[in-house]
Amino acid sequence: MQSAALKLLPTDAAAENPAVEPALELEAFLRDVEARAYRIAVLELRDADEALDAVQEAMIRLVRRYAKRPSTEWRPLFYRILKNRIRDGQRRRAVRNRVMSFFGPRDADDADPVAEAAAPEADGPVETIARADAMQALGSALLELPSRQREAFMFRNFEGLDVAQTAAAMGCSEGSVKTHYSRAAKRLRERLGDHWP
Amino acid sequence: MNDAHRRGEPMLEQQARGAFERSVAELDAATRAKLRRARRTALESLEAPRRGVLLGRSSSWIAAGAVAAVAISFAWLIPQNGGVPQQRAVQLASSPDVDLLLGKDELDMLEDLDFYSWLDQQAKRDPPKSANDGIG
Repeated sequence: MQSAALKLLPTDAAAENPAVEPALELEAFLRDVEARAYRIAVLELRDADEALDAVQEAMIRLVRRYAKRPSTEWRPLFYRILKNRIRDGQRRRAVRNRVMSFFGPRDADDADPVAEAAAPEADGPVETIARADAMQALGSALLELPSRQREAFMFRNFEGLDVAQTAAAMGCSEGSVKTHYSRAAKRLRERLGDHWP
Repeated sequence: MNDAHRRGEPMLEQQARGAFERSVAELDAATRAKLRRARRTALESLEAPRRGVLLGRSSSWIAAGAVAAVAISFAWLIPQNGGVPQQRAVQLASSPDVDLLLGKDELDMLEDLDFYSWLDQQAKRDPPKSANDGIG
């Protein structure tokens, strides 16, 4: 369950200037969500720099447009914005690939951002490799899903959005969220098998 | 996702979330520093002067129109293997690539409209406590 501790104790500055407290609350929210949002964007875009750009753009848009909305609305709205930025990135890549294929051979294998993740230091080499392999297998399996199923699974399972919040983030009905999610889970189970990780 | 849902959760989904959370926890310091900078940049927007809404929207439409004009003009300049140039321009203007280039504004507007619709549904479900909870 993601942290709901978005409200901070008011400081003297906040008490004197009411505008300061919302900014602190917004900062706390972004600090809470940024790492997971980045990981989700990396899984979708398969490029660390593009993922970082998408997360930053989503943060900026949330702050500029929706800072005054109740904080309970920030999470689904943030992921809705992030999803749109990810789609932008995927579309730009599709156009870029078409142009590149016209002028020459495509690039070799895309960089695997999962494989680029730093290995943990606490575990031994066997455990380290096993965990990296598990995440890599999960990432590959997720990429094989249709985009809507992948979104539903990541928003519900990774970020912990409830059905209504996921529907808002995806721009679809709650029934569609449940359908996408159950199909995603079923396909992942088939793909990864009973003995994953 | 609430705890009641997770208690009955199949093993694969628990393990998937565990793998994801570990990958988040293991983010390297350099990436975390970049995310911090991104967060600070975003929060500076609270203080930065904003463009007028009308000017901002107008700028987006002008930019979209410019892109379309360039794309259509480019089609006229490309030597054609066959077909009338006007037909090629129409094809290009309706091609998925032009849609992709123009898609950002559509997404921006839909993002707001759909979210406001969801907010409206939420308000009906949970009536606001004060008269000032409406959008706008």
